[in-house]
Amino acid sequence: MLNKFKKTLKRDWPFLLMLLPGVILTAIFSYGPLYGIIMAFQDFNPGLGFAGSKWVGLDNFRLIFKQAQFLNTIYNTFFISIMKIIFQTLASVVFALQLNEIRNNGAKRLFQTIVYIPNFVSWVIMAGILLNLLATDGIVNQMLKVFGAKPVQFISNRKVFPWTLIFTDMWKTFGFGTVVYLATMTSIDPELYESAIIDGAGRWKQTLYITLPMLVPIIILMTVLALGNVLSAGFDQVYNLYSPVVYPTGDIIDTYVYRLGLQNGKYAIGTAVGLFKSVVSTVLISTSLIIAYKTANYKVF
Amino acid sequence: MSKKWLSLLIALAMMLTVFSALADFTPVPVGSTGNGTREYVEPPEGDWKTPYSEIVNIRTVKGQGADVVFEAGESQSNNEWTRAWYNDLGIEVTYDWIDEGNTQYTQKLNMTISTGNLPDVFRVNYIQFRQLMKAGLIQDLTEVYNKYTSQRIRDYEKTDPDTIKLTTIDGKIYGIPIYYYGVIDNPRYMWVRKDWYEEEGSPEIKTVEEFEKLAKTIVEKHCSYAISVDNTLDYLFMTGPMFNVYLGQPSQGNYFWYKDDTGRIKAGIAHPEFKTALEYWAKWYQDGILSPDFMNYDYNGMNEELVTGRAAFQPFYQWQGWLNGPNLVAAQNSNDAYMIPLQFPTVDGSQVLGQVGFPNADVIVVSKDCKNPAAAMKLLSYTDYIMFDPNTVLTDEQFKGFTDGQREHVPGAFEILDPQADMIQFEHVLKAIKTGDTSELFTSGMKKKYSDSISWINEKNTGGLGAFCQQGFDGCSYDLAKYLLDNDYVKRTDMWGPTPEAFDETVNTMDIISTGVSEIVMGIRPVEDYDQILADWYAAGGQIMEDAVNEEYNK
Amino acid sequence: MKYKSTGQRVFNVINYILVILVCLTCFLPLLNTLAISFSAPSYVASGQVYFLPKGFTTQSYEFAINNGKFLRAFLVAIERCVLGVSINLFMMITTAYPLSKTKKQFAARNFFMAFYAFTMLFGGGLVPWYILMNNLHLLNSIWALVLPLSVPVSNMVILMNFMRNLPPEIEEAAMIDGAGYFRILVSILLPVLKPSLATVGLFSFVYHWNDWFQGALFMNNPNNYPLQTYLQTLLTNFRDILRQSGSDYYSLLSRMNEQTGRAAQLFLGLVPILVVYPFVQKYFTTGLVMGSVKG
Repeated sequence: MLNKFKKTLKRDWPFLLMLLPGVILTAIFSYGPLYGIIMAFQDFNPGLGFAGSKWVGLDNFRLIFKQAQFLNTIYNTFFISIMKIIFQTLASVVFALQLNEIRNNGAKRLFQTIVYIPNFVSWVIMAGILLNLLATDGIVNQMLKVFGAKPVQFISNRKVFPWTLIFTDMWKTFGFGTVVYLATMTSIDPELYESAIIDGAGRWKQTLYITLPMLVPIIILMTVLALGNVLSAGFDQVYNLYSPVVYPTGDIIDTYVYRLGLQNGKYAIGTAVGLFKSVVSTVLISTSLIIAYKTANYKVF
Repeated sequence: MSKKWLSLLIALAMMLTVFSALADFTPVPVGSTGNGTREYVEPPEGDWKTPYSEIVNIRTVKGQGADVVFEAGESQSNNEWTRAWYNDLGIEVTYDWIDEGNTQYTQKLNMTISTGNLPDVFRVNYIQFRQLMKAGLIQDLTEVYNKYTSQRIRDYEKTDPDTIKLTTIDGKIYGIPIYYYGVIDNPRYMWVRKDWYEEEGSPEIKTVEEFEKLAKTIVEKHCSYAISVDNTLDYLFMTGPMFNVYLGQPSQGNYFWYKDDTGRIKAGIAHPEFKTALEYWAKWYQDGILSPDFMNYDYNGMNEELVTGRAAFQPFYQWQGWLNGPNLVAAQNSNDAYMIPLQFPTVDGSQVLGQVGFPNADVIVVSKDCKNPAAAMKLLSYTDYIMFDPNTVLTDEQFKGFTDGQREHVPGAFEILDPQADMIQFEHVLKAIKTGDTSELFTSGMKKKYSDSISWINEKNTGGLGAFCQQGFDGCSYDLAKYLLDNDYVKRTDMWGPTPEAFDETVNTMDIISTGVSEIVMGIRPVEDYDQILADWYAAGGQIMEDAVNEEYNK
Repeated sequence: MKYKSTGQRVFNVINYILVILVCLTCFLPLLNTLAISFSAPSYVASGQVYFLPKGFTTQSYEFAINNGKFLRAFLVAIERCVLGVSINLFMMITTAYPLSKTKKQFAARNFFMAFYAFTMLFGGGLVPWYILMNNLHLLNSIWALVLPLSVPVSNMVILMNFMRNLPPEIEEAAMIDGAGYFRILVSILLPVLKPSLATVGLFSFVYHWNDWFQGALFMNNPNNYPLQTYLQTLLTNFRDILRQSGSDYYSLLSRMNEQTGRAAQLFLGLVPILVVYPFVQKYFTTGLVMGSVKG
């Protein structure tokens, strides 16, 4: 046993040595402050510190989970996040496929760069633009009118609002996915297509049987990473677009907790909710990793 | 040697120490420790202005606007204030940290408190005050307050006897309120486009009906709808006094508390007349007095509607002139296209009351480890002496040094305000504008507001509109407020102090109200549903809050 | 020239039109922001600015720059980025390489992977973080901004997967020549890793450049604020500046407002990215793709 250990150590020491600086810093700066989690179980008083503050057990959790509104925000958060992941992936893949059909490399690169741009615009500014575009007499509704549709209250109609969030987010962020997926497509071995053409496959079949399957691993990576954040459905976006009338469908966990902080600087409840989010994210991410590994033998970590 | 000689020698020696100390004023950069002593020094005999014989070091922290500008070669640790404290009081002030922009002050202070390394003097909110009391980290200031603060500051208690009681525990003072510029800045108004209002002959608006008539006439002639409000409902709620209800700010989760006929304190949203307000608001939404899109407007959107000339009215605070004045005049290309305040009309035409909330936000406290609390009191008195005492005579140079470039906010934790300041300021400014005699403008605020107003009046410089609308003419916002205050047409909140601790047992109860109210206003639900909404609010924590407020403020 | 059917041509035309339409909708917001940052506030406040500046003024930029503080904050930001990116890259390389090995090659691999994955999900919050900084005497020092997140885990994973997807022959050949892991990493892998390093390096650069919160939290002296922290404080105070309206601000008021200021801030933040991005772009795609998943 000890011998085996020594042998392994003799072989692995360069790896351990390489890891050392990162591990030390991570241990200090990421693991060091972890004890802060106990705040979730305390009536935290900065003056008394972590050691002196009163223990309240699960009171913070009880208080927050007793609220029907909070449970509602959990549902909203999941719904909005998951829809965002789905639509963002769809939009990115479709647009990447479209770009892939363009043979002019200069144009391709230009288009790619342009769709990436909205990623750089902050939600504060984007919200300002969107609120104008989506007003009852805004451009979008004027266009709908041309087609004979009734004006839609994108921002203040409770049923529409979550979809407003999902589609505006899709529009703002799909460029990143497009860059990634397009790059994957260009790295596909051309021989695969050539042999497909010999077999008589058209463009559509090539896409279906070669391009898409080659995209799967990276879609999995992106989705897994996104799932880790599924409980953060985009604070900046929601905060800058929502209003009380759409709280029932548009309020997410982070905006709800933010409003808590306005009232009384409720550190402990914030920490409790944070811990809850961490645990749920862990479960989700582990599950998706296991599924990816078991079904397709993909390893992310 | 005779006794006389000896005392003379000692006096000389003492003077030398003081002078040598004065000579080597060395600024200590933010985040470093000072050179003065931190041990106990017997406070000098005489009034608060007598300097310490040995330089005393006081550590503090502050949050400060990013707009403070220093003269060339000066800094946070070397400026008119720090030098004056050093030279006039014998106190060296050093900063553990400064939060420029004042966005993270509360956060940083909480974290600093958690490290256990407290500054000597600092500013806290009431939640932090409560926590520090519980932890026993701040000291009893009763004795030093009575002995080493100026009479002027102690006289603030005459203007406002209630506020300091909140930090007086078992007869001992643990915190000094920073006070405020005055309740004169509390009441809100219905601001109206001046040019359009005058076109209708500046009618006196006493009743809501008259208001609606005026609104409709103006809308017909000029704009898309009448009142611009935003989706937080904060500004719609400001119109409460029109219906004899007084409301808080939904976006901040706070309520206005009033005593009902039975003597019980209740939230404004529970007032029976609130349903009248809802009826009117819903009607306004239908009739186009409110925008069909008001739920789309955030703060900027709300103001944009006014600047573009799509709306004519805005319920707002006394400082509306700064907010929309310059943009409006520029966008409408007319020197008459700014807004002026009107008193709110009421349903029955009765006198409207000015809404006054609890104005004090912060408290100045001294760490229990501080050996020289008297120094803190001297520093407070000094700020008041420079900023508000009419008997203080400063040279132009000193005056500039203390107040130019927003430097009046340099004292930070020692910045105490005269609760009469804005009232006195307004009286002096308006008088100077009317008479042209500027000799009685003795504070920086007065000089600034006066010259701002004059620059609008004479040169049509839009930068001066804010001050002008606040203080510059008969009918300006402070003029309206003064009328309300002088005649005691005032509705003070019955929760005169911070929210009780039991509020911590509730979460986001305001959501129920703001969602429900917006639905009613938009016609999605009938007004009758409000009973149910209110019942839900009580069940979700409203009851806890109401009980707690009565427990604490209705003894 | 390949033969193209009519259907193919029609498809291409429609495809082009769609792509261009999408690009237009994506491009316009940025143009709008740029226009706002150069416009007079009255036009902005009345919603008249679309894609060209109206009442052209550079006041919003001058407001930020015409101040001794700007240059200082800019230099702090540069210092932070140089230090931060170097540290991040070093840590990511030395962490990703061992973790790119299989469990057979490196016995403790999965333990360390879990060690890092955990930090992606759990954190202790701000208060203990601050206490730690205080105890380590890092407050008010540039190290408080670059040491805490020295191993950005999700970027490290990208680099790790890139290494895993390299043909094993590269290393094997070197092994046979008797090279140790350190030599392999430095002289053989590093040159090959260029695309991936450029990609994660850019991510880490963007993070350090744009983060304002840590600066506000850990710097005691405002003189040490990095650029984005400084710009943030300027903007959050704009309304106070309005209200207190000193004589200095007279002319300012007619030439800028919060909206134009924020738009200008956004662009000041973008400049370095726009400068660096073209150099990195050619690596960007390869770096990301090969760093995706070990199949």
